[in-house]
Amino acid sequence: MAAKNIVKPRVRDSWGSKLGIILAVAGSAIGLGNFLRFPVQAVSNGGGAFMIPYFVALLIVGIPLMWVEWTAGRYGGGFGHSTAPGIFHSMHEKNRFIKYFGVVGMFGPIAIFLYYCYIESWLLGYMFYSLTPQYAGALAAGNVGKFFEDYITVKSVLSPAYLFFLATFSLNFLILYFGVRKGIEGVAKIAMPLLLILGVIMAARVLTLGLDPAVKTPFKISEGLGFMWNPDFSKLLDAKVWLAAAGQIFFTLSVGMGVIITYSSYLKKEDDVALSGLTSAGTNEFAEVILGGSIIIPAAFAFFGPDKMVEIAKGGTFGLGFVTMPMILDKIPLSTVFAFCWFLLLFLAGLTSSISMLQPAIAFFEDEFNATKKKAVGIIGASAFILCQPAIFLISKGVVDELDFWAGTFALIVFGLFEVIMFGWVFGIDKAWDEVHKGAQMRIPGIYKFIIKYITPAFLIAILAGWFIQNWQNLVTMDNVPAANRPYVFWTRAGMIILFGVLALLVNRAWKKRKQNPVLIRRKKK
Amino acid sequence: MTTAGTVLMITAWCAIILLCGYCFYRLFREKRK
Repeated sequence: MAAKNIVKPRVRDSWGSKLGIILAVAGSAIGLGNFLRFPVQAVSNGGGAFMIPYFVALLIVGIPLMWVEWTAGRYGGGFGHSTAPGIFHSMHEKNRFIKYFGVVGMFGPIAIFLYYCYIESWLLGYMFYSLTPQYAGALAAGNVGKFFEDYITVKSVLSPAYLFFLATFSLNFLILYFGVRKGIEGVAKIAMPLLLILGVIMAARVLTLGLDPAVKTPFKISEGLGFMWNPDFSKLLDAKVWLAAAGQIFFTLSVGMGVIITYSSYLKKEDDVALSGLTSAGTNEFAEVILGGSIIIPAAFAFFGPDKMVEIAKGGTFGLGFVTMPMILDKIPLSTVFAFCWFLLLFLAGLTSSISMLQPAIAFFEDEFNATKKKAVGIIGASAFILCQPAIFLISKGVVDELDFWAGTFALIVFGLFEVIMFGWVFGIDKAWDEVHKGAQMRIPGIYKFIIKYITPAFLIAILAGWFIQNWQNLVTMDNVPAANRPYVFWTRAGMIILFGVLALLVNRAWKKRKQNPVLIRRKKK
Repeated sequence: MTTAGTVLMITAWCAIILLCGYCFYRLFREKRK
């Protein structure tokens, strides 16, 4: 009878190739933010001057955290852990509470997925609609803004937006069902090259617009690039610009989410992390600064001129992607093809990011509860489906904005801070430095030892302190939330606290279960 | 586009292209070994 109760640990997933994981991490990093959020942030924060704090943040926060996550993930993977609670525990086994700090790294990606999947589904819907007369008619009548608003307002489960959501949601879980190598890596190897090719095509088309058919004069693309790049150096004295740059770096590189740590946990002990981490960051920057910065803002400037640009930028990222860009593309030859390419580009960027958000939760059930892939995908799929519904049906009530702030911004910075303190102080910078260089294909400059230990944590603490001082009153009183939305915002916050509590409880249960089945406690691979 | 804007854009683009070029060169060189 006793033999019946013995649980054998599952064989963990692994990557098929080094390029596969680099593309998967780059795919997780390259998302809608690269093509929509970055140009708006740059234009709103001093144009070219924004790039100075942006690159500073990349060098002292983005790239160091990338190395921290790749290394911590590979280290924890050696103990059979794929998610932050287990990885933190393996880095400091003496402290039994340390694993709970890792719950932030599971909460973030799950909560982001709850609204991100719905937004991603708009792109699938728009790919379809870009080929239909219905959409062409809306463009011809100048109703593209109303078309978008009508589309995203879901009235019933038979609304087109809901059906496209179901398709997108199912596609995400289908990919994850096939596992790390066949699912995530397989998709990344096709989607990432295709995404980069589409990005280059779109950027090349915008930069070679030629003559404006209406007035027979060349489009002012150079001035459009100038709108994006001409520096306003006075903005460098504004702390908000530095905060915006740091926020954009977090958002774009997917650091502080708990996703890269999971991906790198499937590496082998001697696999390189130093060069691979830098390559994935570099690929993301190529997609963001070179491609993302050359498409939407220069095109919008060329078509609408300087007067309307401020208004367009204030319309937000969705307005740019779903309203402004279709209007621009409608005015060039082969407009249907380019509109389809635009939405396909964004959909691929969204898909490779959203699958990465679910993997930590699935991996948690597989590793910590020894669940089968089928069971883990089933549990997470059913839970995520239910939890996605408020974001879909209550989008106009501020639910998505609230989730985006706490999960998509705040949790990232908090978890980034936890990670870097764990790595540089708890694990110890000397041990960590040796760990980064195991199997490394490049030597990281020695200055980064100092940066990781002192500068990155200090920078993150300063960001959090600055944000808290400026915003704590509004957070409590909800003064910046319309009165009608306050109950929804309150319940969204309550829901996030409950989700966090449930995750912490699951971590507790998992460790109790491991104690009962010592065979599940894996030792580091020699 | 002003001179400062042009210089910033070209510097940023070159820095990123050089970074990507260096990374992929090192990766594929190791792969061939």
